Order: sequence, then structure tokens, then C-alpha cells
Amino acid sequence: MNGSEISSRWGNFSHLYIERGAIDYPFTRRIRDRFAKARVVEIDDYKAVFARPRQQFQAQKESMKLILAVKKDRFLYDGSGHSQDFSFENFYYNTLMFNCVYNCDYCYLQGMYPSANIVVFVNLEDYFTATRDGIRDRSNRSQPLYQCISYDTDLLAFESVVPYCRAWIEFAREEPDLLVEIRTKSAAYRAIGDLPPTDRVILAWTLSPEPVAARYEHGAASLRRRLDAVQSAIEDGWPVRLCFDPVLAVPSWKSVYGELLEETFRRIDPTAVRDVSVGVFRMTKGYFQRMRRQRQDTPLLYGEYVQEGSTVTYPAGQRKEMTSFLRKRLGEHFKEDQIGVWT
Amino acid sequence: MPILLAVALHPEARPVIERFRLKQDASFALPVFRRDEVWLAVTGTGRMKSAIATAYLVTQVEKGENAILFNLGIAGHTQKAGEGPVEVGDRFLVNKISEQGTGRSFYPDLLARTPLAESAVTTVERPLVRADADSVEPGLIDMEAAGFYQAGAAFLPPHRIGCVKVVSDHLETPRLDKNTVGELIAGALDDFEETIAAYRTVSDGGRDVLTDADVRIVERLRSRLRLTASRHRMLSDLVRAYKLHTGSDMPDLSKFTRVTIKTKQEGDAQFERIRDILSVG
Ligand code: SF4
Repeated sequence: MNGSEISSRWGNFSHLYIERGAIDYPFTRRIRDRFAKARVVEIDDYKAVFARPRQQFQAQKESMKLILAVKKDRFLYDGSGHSQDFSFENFYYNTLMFNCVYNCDYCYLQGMYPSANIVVFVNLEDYFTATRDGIRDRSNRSQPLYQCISYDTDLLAFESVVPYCRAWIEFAREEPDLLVEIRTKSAAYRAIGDLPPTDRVILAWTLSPEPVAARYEHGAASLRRRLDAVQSAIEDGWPVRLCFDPVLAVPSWKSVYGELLEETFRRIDPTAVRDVSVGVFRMTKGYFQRMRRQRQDTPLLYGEYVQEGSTVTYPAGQRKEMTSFLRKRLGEHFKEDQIGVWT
Repeated sequence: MPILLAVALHPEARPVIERFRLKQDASFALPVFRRDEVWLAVTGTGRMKSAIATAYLVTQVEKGENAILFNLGIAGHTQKAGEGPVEVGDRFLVNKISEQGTGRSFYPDLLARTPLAESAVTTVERPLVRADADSVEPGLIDMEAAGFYQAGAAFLPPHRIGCVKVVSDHLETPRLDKNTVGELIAGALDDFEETIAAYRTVSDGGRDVLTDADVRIVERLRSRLRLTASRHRMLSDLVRAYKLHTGSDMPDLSKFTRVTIKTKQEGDAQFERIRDILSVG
């Protein structure tokens, strides 16, 4: 054993694991073409790869594999009680893929999933069917079905691999009682920039102070590039949402987030923004604990946190101060009902 | 980092023992050969024997939980001789292990980039004959991999378990002589060694900021201040928070390793003082 230190790690998507049942789907063929050099492993069920015991999330993050699967059920999740719902009563989300190409230090997926590999569900039609059923059966018929499709992932960041944002935008165009949110930290707007806008799709950008983006949001676009993308989307006529979430208690957070807002509204005309949302860092306790077991290398998981019910977050006083600070600053540009706040 | 090798037969093990200059270690209940950080167990044939010996090796070797674990051996191949690209002597890193007996499949995690091509292997109970080649997934046929992998996966993350197979036949050869087996394995050893080197460069990720020295101090504090398990955990996390937020080394807490504690209250009071020192508010 000479232990010679050659660089010997596979890059991302060196391997495609494909469920036998997923092989004939058009999206599968497209992805195989896109990664023509990838080694292909046929599998019976994605869980046999995705849910192996003792996988190391951060080790896998440096060489993510792609798993193509057919989702069998649960195409629509009831999201009421989660997140800021801007008083939409019919709030739903779905999981078109598991995991994300980015690697934010604070990402709860590290505590939620046993693996960092990306699962793409290729049976999009089944999701559309479930959404149509959801629209039909929604409880409050005076409101649309409000559906977040990039909830536990960053769909737009993956658009060049699977054009799901495009597919959903086209789907939403056909469904008058649907309102879709696509949330992203990417600058990949041009991947859908050729599509005419529709008011049935909100493009939502999560904005973070540049020092936070650079240090903790690995792979995601810089603040400047996110703002460029926001600007392009607004110019093209899309409804745009800006999300300041999670707000992190980094040193001098007040000036850091103050600068973020200044920079944002220097670049973006607030009257052209549909609405904004704010949320201070919080996480389900179980995920937080599992994340800590997975990694002991980021300050974001070690510090002053309190447990409130099943949530881990900052102490109440600090949380309140952070929320009111942002709310007040955003109040200079937005009406109360345009600001969604997680408290 | 221990390198653990599970090899079914002596003729397969011999070239490996020679290459790494391993010596038999009689303190083990199984035939185990070692030198420095390399350990090789001769497991015997079949998935059960392989599983038992693998579990034994991982648990008996010091820091076995940090090991890289490999199975190396010969295997048949479902492709007919001369009817495809695979030839006797070709070697593969296994990317899928199917267990014929149960129908289950297992997947080692392939993070390290190695010089080897990849293949699926099916672990059978009895040697497979040519006529039954269509009853399994095309690829390699062996008798150990599924047992080996399941035993290893009970202890190690899947990216530290690997399986390398050398094609010895196309399900036609009735019996291979020892020399041929030894030559096949010997021919694969350069690639095998490079594969192990590649696996060694892959770290687990999320590396702990607590160094071994930090852990030792925290341990000393725990016993000195009679900390409960949860306080002990809390103390470790406080030190992590301190190091991660300040970017500095752990502050000098050695004076707390010299205090004498008589009551739980005194322990608590000292703990609070440490907490103050480590506070990064
Ligand atoms: S962009 Fe969102 S989903 Fe992706 S890693 Fe960051 S927090 Fe997680």
C-alpha cells in the first residue's frame, strides 16, 4: 500500500441508478443522454440505494449519484401548518425529486434523508393527475390550489437536467385554479426565460447576504447573480417573490441583513415585486439532531439554540428582534399583507 | 485507517499475502494475516462463512469501525467465452450485489474513482452451471459477496466497503487448479492496490472539529466533574461551538481537570464556569 494521494473521487452523477420500471420514461431517456458517460446500474426499487444504512451525507455530497425512479403514491402533500402560506387555505406541496444539487450548511435535508444522492421521479403525469384531483377537491373553492413544487429541493437549479419547471409552467397555464410557487437560490432563470410569463406561477428567490451565500450556501448562485435573475424575471413580467429565509444569527446580523435589503432594493424595484417572506432559522428537532450527528464542522449547527415544542430555533427574544428588524425594513417598501412572516 | 481484506480461499489469498508481506497472526480464531494496518482473513467458501469471518474481522481489529473493507476473489461470468468483451483475467469493481437465495440486492457506495470497470455480481448458493446462466442478472457469479457485504454494512458506511472480482471462467470450467487461481489474483493486484489507495482518499465528510486531544480533555473533565451523559454531550457541543465560531483552539481548561468535586452541586457550578468560558454569545 503506497497510499499515493491521487485525486480519486468521482464527480457528480458518475453513476445513474435506474429503477427497472423507470427505464422507458422519456425523462429517463433524456437524462441518460445528458449523462452519456455515466455508469448505469439497474435497480428494482430506489429505496434499496437511497435508504442504505450508515451513508455519509457529506461524503456523498461530493459525488452525488442520480437515482431515477417512479413514484408510486403521495403525489401531493397537504402543507397547511407549514411555512408562511400567505393565507392560502389550499396549501399543498409535492416532491418531484429528493435532495438538491446545492449544499447549504443549514439545509435540513441532511437530517431528513438518509442519503445525499438525488432521486428524480420521472412519472410527471401522475403528479399532474394528483394536482388536477387536488384542484377539484380543494376545500376553499374561492381560492386557487396553491402548490409549492420546489419545496424540499431547488428545482430550477436542476432545470438543465430535468426541465420540470418548464413542464409545470406549461401545466399551470392550462389550470385556471392553480397557483404554483417555484423557489430557488439559482441564477438559472434563462432556462425558462423563453417562456411567456403567467400569473399562475410565482418565481420565488431566496436572497441571502453575500457573506452568508459565499460561506454557507455551497454551489448556490451569488447574491449578485440571484438579483440579476430576479431583475430579468421582473422585466419579463413574472410575478416574483423575495424570500429572506432562513435569517441567520451570524455575527453583526443586523448590519449584514440591513445591507442585504439595501442592496436588494437598490437593484430591484419593490413595486414590481409581488410579495416577500421572512423566516428566522428554525428546524424540526429530529432533523437538527441528526444533522449534528452527521457533521461537526459548521458553526451554524453549534451555538445558542432553544427547543420550542418540536422545533429548534434561536431564543425567543433574539428571534423577535430579528423578525421585527426585517419586518420593519421591509415595511418601508411593502404593504402588511405583502409580507409573509414565520413567527 | 485499517485495511481489512476478506478472501475466501488460500490460493486467492496467497498472492495478496506475498504482495503486502503479511504474516499470520495466531491470536485470531480464524486464519488472519497482517502487517501494519493491513489485515487479511481467509473466510472459507460461501456467503455464510464470508459473513461470519467479515464480522469477526471488523469487530476484532482495533478501530475496525474506521476501516476500509474489501472482498477480493475469483468469479464466473455469465457471458459465453468469446461471445462478448469479457475475458478470463478481467477484473471488476462490483456495483451491485444480488443474493440469489433471497432475491435481495445491495449496493456498495461508489465514491472513489478507481481504475476498474464495474459489474453486477450475483451470489449463488451452489456453483452455477452454464445451462442456468439465464436465471440470473448478466454479470459476475460468486458465492461470497452478498454475505460479505451484509456483514460489513452492519458496521461500516457503504462507501468503505468494496468488492473486487477477477473473472476465472465462463461457467464452463469444472475446477480450477490452485496455480491458475493464484495467477489470476496476482494479475489483478496492481489495480487492486490502486483501488484501495483511491478508497483511502475519500473521507467521511462533515469532519469533527474536535481533535483527539480535545476529546481527551473533555473526557478528563467528564470524569473529574462527574458529568452526566447529557452534560458530557453538551460540553462536547460547547467546545465545538467555541471552535467553530471563534476559529480558535479550545481554551485552556486544564485547571478544571484538577478540581476536586464532592457534591453534584459543586460539579454543576464548575460546569457553569466552563460554559461561561466557552460562551460565544
Ligand atoms: S438550496 Fe435549499 S434544498 Fe438546496 S441545499 Fe440549500 S437549503 Fe437545501
